[in-house]
Amino acid sequence: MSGSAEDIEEEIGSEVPNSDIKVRVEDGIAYLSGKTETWEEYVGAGHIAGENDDIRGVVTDVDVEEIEDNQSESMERQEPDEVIKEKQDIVIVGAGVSGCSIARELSKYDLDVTLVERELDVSLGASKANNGCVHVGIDQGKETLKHKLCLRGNAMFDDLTEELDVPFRRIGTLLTITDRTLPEKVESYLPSFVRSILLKHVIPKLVTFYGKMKNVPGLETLSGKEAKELEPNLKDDIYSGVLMSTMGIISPYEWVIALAENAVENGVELMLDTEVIEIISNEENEVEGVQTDRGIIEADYVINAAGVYADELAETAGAKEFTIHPRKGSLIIFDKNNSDYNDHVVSELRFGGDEYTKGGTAMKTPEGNPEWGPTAVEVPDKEDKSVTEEEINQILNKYGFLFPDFETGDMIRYFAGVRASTFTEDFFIEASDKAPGLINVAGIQSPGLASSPAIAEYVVRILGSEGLELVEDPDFDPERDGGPRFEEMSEERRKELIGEDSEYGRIVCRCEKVTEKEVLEAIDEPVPALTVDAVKRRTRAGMGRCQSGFCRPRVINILSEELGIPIEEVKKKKGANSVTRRTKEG
Amino acid sequence: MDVKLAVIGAGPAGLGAALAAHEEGIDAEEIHLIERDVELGGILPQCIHNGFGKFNFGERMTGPEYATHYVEEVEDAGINYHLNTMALDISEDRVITAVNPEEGLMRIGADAIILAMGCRERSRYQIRIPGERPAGVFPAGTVQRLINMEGVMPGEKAVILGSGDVGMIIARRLELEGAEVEGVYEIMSSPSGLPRNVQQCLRDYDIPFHLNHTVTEVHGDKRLEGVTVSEIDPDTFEPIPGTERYVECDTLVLSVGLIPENELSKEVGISLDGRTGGPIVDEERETSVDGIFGCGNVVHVYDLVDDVTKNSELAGKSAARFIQGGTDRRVENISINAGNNVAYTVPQGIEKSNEEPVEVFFRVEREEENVKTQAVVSGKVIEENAKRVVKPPIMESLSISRKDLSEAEEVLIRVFEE
Repeated sequence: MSGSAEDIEEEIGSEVPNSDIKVRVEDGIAYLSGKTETWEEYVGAGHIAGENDDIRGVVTDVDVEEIEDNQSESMERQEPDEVIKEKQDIVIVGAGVSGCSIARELSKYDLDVTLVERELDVSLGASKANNGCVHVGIDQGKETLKHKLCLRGNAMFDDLTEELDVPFRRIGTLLTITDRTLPEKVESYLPSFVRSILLKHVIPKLVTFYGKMKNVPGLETLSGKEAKELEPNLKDDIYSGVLMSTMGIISPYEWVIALAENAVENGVELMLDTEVIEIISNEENEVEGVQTDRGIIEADYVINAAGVYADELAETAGAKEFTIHPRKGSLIIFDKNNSDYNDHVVSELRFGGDEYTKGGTAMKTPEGNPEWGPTAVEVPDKEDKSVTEEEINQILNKYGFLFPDFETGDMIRYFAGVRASTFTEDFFIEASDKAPGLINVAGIQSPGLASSPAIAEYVVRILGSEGLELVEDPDFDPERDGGPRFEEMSEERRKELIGEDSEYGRIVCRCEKVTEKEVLEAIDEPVPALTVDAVKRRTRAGMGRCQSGFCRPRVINILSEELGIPIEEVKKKKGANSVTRRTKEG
Repeated sequence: MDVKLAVIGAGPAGLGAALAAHEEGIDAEEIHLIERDVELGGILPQCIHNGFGKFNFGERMTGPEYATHYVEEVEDAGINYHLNTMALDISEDRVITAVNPEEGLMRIGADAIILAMGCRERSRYQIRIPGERPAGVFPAGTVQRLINMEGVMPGEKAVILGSGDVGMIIARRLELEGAEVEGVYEIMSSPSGLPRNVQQCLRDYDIPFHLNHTVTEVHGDKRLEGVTVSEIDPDTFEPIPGTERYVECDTLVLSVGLIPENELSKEVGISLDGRTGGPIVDEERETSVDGIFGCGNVVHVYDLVDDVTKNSELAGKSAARFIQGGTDRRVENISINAGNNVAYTVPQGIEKSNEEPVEVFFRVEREEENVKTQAVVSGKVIEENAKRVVKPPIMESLSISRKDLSEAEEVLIRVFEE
């Protein structure tokens, strides 16, 4: 199919019959307008346009009948027009994994950089709510940007996590080939010996070959028996497997916090609790900065790393080059008393599933909690982070099939994140044609975490070619100290630290054995923990099996004292107080 | 540090056990209580309602009053205690690693250990309520602590899920503090807490109580905005479609069960009973590891503190006898099995050589009227109690005389319908 508007329009017309969509193509961007009945049809239409090789971006202006248009016309707010920051070289909007990675990369140069985040902490949004897999780069098309950046990024993790003092483990992925690998339809046509040869011998070799073609290192074809030896708790009838040794696991928010802290220590200014309302441009539509709810930040370049809101932000600069369709992913975490259950990230090859919803693994966090998921659900609402019963059951069935004896009653939490997908299903990292000075870093979904260091490099190169002068800062310090973690220390180290500071002897979170000192340190870091959730992400207080039943009152008290605010003003997260008022006697 | 007896947890169970061991002849200075909180008493200091001590003292005391009685005895006796102290680990040869700010990291080698760590509350995720994850969802015990100890309110309009005792008590407490309780929702067909609490905490305060209902979704991205409640089919336990109702609230209080806190027990390799969630114990309250005993909610969840005290005294005495070098009792075990309509028993086994009568505690699985609770050996009823009604929230017991057990291999505890 060519990338002509007529062809795309025709295909949408035949594939999505209940739609009425007009297509216009300009500079490789497809603009869709009209209407569909359902959200699924809307997403389908967008994908038809996006799948086209000649299309680099899809912008939709499509009414979906089943979705109530509850976009309350944004109230005319008068934003403060005073300049709160003058003449920044760069302002980065959004302190997720991309924004923080870019900020840290830019902090190597002699530049004035401000990183703006609407929430009270970094790494919210999709950056915290994913499974922390540092992917190997086999799942993406060879020509995609995300494939290139994933391969490059994955290889950078060993050195970077060393520098930034973040636990990172390359535990490898075991891709299993099972009796669900072939679609039922295909199975019914196949003589059993052909099926057996396919599952045992042909498919794993094809996967390995396919991976090698994509330059993925460290692939190994395994027999079913070898796969079972690697993961003895797998179900018995595994046909074969492929081991991908470069898969790594990391705590996604610890990674982002580390990037942000190192960036701040190297001179980046982080403004939390500051929402960017729009990009400000001059008559030539060149960007001049951003309008925030606190005032104006002047900057020569604006980096749009606003996640699911990247399309809306770009539009404020008159740059409609992509539309984000939110895709929710839910995950389940289990008690770490099952930390030995599986040693690898385990997944299952299944043909015939929806191309955009495949994926998901049974893995474990660096701390040893088994973690299953994510799902992939197209949702109209960018803030829809609900986990439905259907998703919980779907996850349990999907991975319970691989691990039939797993005790799923040891579930300690489930959560969801919303991926910022574009219709081309690739990263959209470009200097905008329409708004000079605007660099869009959009469509960063999986493998965004693995790619993050490479995304940062790539963006800096774009800035260089856009005319930014990059002079290395001789004072740049790549090292960060993640701080001691009581639970993981040797007894000698524990004794030593308690000797230095007795607060290392006071445990506030019994499940994860977090000490008061660790909480105090978290509040005192370069990117301070200002909320109960922020303390949790830095120290793990509240992440254990009791889900903060024990530590919550204690953490609330410490935050109140350290931040010098009344206890009823302590927040769980932005806009959410933990408690409401004093009691009659309190 | 080497001691004769170390007790982990200084709630009613740990206090009772330490005092009993002392009475049995263990020097007070050889007994050490390890308590993670800032004061002795466990959960009692936050239980400011009354109803404690009805059986042991013949009067209705508040939680702090009940605790004070035992705390004073501990102080008077000169039993050692370590506050702000978390036990991190126990080894099979009975060395406890514990930590606190004053003494730092310490190793306490003990001739005997009594586990009295109590229990924790089941979370929202363990009962799988779908939806978002806003602020404002609290376990009932945490709410109790916030209100009664920290002096702060968790919220202003609450839905209570589960009719466990703490949940009902919290419903009343919230009302008294000027918050609104929209209702208490219970998935089962009968209350899971004590009848007296249904009357005194809910009916007396006109708090709506909905049986066969549960919360099926949590709404709100920041602070809780509301919950969906649904009626439950009592046979399938599935929500009945079409009965969903949105209830606006800023607080969801969960009183959906307690889990004995046995992480330390697991690490030392003590055998646990899947039904109680606690260690398997014999009539002396000794666990499967020699010299380690258990009592209170760490063994199984009690409904009355008076029973906790009684059982912990048994554990304390047993530990004392163990320390003093009593006979090697671990010869032959008679297992105690749960029969018709019995969920579990404590103890789960009895040593043959012991001669004192044994009180067996158990819970029924479902409510029944006009029944007999029976202990049966080889088809013969050796002990029975006629009961007008038995209910899961109310713990039952039978006292078994030793002379009936001389030839027994097992004792069956059952509910007999006439």
